[in-house]
Amino acid sequence: MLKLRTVIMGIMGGALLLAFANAQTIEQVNDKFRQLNEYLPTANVYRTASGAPGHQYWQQQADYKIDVTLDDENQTLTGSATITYYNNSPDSLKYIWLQMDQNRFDPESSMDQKSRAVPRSMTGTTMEMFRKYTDEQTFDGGFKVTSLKSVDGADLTHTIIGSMMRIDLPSPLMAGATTQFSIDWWYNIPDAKKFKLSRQGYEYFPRDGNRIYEIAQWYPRVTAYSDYEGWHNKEYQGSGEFTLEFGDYDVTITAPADHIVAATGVLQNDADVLTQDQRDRLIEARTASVPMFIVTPEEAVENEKSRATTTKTWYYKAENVRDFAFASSRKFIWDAMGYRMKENGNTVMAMSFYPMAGQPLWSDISTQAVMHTIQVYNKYSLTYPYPVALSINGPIGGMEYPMISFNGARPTTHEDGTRTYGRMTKHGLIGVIIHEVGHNYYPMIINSDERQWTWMDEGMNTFVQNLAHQEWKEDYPLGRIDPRNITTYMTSTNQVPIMSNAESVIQKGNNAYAKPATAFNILRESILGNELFDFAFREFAQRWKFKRPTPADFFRTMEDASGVDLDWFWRGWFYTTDHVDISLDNVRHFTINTQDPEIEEAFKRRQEMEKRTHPSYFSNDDLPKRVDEFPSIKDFYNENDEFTVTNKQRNEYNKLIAGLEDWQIEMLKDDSHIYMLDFTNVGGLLMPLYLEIEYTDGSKEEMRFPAEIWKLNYEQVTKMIVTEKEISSVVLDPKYETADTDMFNNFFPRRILESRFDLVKEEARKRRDMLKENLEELKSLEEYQREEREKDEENKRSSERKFNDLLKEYQ
Amino acid sequence: MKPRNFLKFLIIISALCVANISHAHRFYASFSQIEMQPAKGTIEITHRIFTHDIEDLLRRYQDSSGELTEDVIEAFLKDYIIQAFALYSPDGEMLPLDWIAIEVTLDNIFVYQEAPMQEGQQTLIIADRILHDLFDDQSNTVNVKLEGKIKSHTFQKGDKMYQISFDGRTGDYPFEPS
Repeated sequence: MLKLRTVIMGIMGGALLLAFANAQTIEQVNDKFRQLNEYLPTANVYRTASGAPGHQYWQQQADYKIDVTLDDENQTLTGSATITYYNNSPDSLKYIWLQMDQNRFDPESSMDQKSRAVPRSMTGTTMEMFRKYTDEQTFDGGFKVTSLKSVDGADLTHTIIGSMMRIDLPSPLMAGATTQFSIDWWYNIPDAKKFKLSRQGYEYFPRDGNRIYEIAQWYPRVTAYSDYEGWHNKEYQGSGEFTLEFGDYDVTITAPADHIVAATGVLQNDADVLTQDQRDRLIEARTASVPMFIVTPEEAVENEKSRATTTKTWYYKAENVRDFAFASSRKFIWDAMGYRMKENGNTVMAMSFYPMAGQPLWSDISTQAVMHTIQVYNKYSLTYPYPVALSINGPIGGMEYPMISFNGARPTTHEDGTRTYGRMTKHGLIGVIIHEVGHNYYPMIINSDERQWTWMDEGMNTFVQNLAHQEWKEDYPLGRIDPRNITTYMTSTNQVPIMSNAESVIQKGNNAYAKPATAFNILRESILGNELFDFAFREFAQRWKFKRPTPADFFRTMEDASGVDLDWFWRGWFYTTDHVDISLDNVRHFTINTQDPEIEEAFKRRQEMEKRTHPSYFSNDDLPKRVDEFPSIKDFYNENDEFTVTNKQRNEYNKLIAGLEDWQIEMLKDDSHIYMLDFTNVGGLLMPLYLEIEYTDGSKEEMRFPAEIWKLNYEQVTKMIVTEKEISSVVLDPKYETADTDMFNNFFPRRILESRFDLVKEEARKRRDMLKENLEELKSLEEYQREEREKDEENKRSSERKFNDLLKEYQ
Repeated sequence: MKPRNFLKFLIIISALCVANISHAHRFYASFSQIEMQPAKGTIEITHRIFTHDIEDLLRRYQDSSGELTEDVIEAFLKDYIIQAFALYSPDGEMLPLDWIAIEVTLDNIFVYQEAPMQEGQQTLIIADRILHDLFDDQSNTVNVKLEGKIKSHTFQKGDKMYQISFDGRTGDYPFEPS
């Protein structure tokens, strides 16, 4: 290994040592380092080329005043809203579009149900799937609008198209003007478990006949109107979530009197709906050092036995939110603790609502996880601006709304009513609460368009969620942001790029969560470094809080704030499906030709001697030699081999030295080792080269070269390394930082690599032995002998029995 | 077992389903890496399945009381995977899948299996219905890798078996008569 030893002739010229690109011309269109011009929109007064809101940035506003009644008997919701719409755009609007997202559950108008296709090869289906299909077809879902009037009481013309409704205004709403209209509606609340990705609905508990309601997408919401998209009129099909305007909410919720109602915003009339005890506990919890029960488990158990015939009205207000959701049930236990934020001294009430089925896990973990989320996200994004943060346990596995999140994980309830939970349920709950509460930042405050881009909120949120995991406890598994875990997905041949529409994403978890989160992790840990990345990532959050960023604004801000051109990274990771596979093909060793014949001829002699490996060079050494027997035949050539330095050579050397400058003479004396490291980009996705060099003396050195090393040739590149010491081995990406999908070609010399499969196989073998062997009861030799005797006797007895039976048959 | 019998078996399994569990923020996806290793004469299979999906499966099929330990999960998966995932040689013979081990992490459970590989084998027929009994929207992506080349396919519920070949035809199996 590393035997190759070539001699570099003459005076060193640095440029000569660099391997040149093979291609004579590289077309601009293939340049992986070209700017993202064809993808990013031209900057304007609303959005700057640096990725910040422009000097004339605007966004619309919609304020809602809603009165709503929850009918627990019939599982319906009936509402009446007055919506105030502020046209802050420079455009006059003839109509306003509303999102009627409950219509996804109306078979008549649901784009989701209508656009669902089956595989061509399908010839039948299971009874289960068929029942689900008929359930969907027969559920009387969707908004039933009973009245729509302008502020002066006149009926407004409206048209419903699937999950969108257009309201025609009597006269155009001019730029800067405000309009108001009132709408009444009702709908049947869906059973959350009956619909895929329902994101809201009720859960029925057959044991006590109660329900938990998680209510969202429950009122007609004004569709976003933006500078880059106009009306965001893309239908709700289930996968692409929401894109909404900020506004103030003033909401009264009328529910059975024994229900506890938790909602976005701050409760305004606690004296009307809470007991004096509960109000006292709330005040105490605000400054408590551990979460305190507002409704205790005992009280909740008592509550769920009753059936109130009267109602109570809960009055909530929320400011500057893009949506409003609530939860209601008589099953709720409620705990709370005030979290005082160190950033500004404000206190956020972290609160959790859950049924007994969530115990004992929920009271231990939920509110703590809510506070933990705020503590960590405040550091990486922005200071939490709202007064409360809620975590609710109900039918929805995980879904986010402003200030309120629905988190599904809970212990298993057994037949006898006992409950147990595993380590995985516990970690699953911590993870989902951090994730859903984290969505307050992305996209509830940093208001990206979820209906277009799943990765913006999910990818960023998953990334910060994993940072929060790292601060929950030591050794929290890296999971979704570990570059190693994304490699198999990235080699799959039927992926779509991250920059795909939310409805068209294949393998959503890998595409919109894991891959962007891993990309951010690589940027943070490897390419930019923590300090630079955190500054830029936070700058994005600061610029766009309560505003509406696009992917371009994110890409531009990250470069603007870090000072690093990352277009190559966005292009490769977000716009293509290339994967990383860089091969370290070869390491070639060179030294400098000193031109001194005394040194160079000796070197040539050593090289010649090294070639003489064949046994016949040595096996005849002991035989007597004729020149020894007849010394007189010896001459000059017997004493000197072909590498002996002659005077002519010495003169030539002296002549050469006399003609050189001092620095050139110094260079010739340099005894450094020169290595040429040849790399090939097999996978297509460009990444930096991270090397671990090990020297023959056993010492190691890390070398890191930026991705720009590929700027002239993104297929092959050679890096020259000059060292004092001799290299024994080189590893490319020794810490698995770059998501390199094939590590076999990352070692020089090649190593036999144990794959994950091999390692597990090996471990499984070991583990099986250890466990089984240890669990076996220890037996003495006597015991074995006794067993043998007993077995023999038993055999004897049984054959006698069989023989006797046979005899009986024949008798 | 020939492919046709396997199919029947699965339909029976699916018919046992009672209710459909649905969660937002769940991915309904598994990922299987199938590496054909001519040098070793084996086909190495690694399934990556979300841990919480397996928990749901266990609740569906077992009256699982007590802690879901790795042993409980492994014993269950041994039965489950054999009904949900199968490989066939080009002539339709089912390949025996050796159970190697499982590896449980917070997010994922990795299932390792191994099958013998014929000399010069370039073709596999795959049936993948992992979690299709639980989730209608489950999609399972399979990567088949041979000598550095990768071919992928994503199985949706109700899909046929799929043939992946590095020297022949790749597509739904059995092929429509042409």
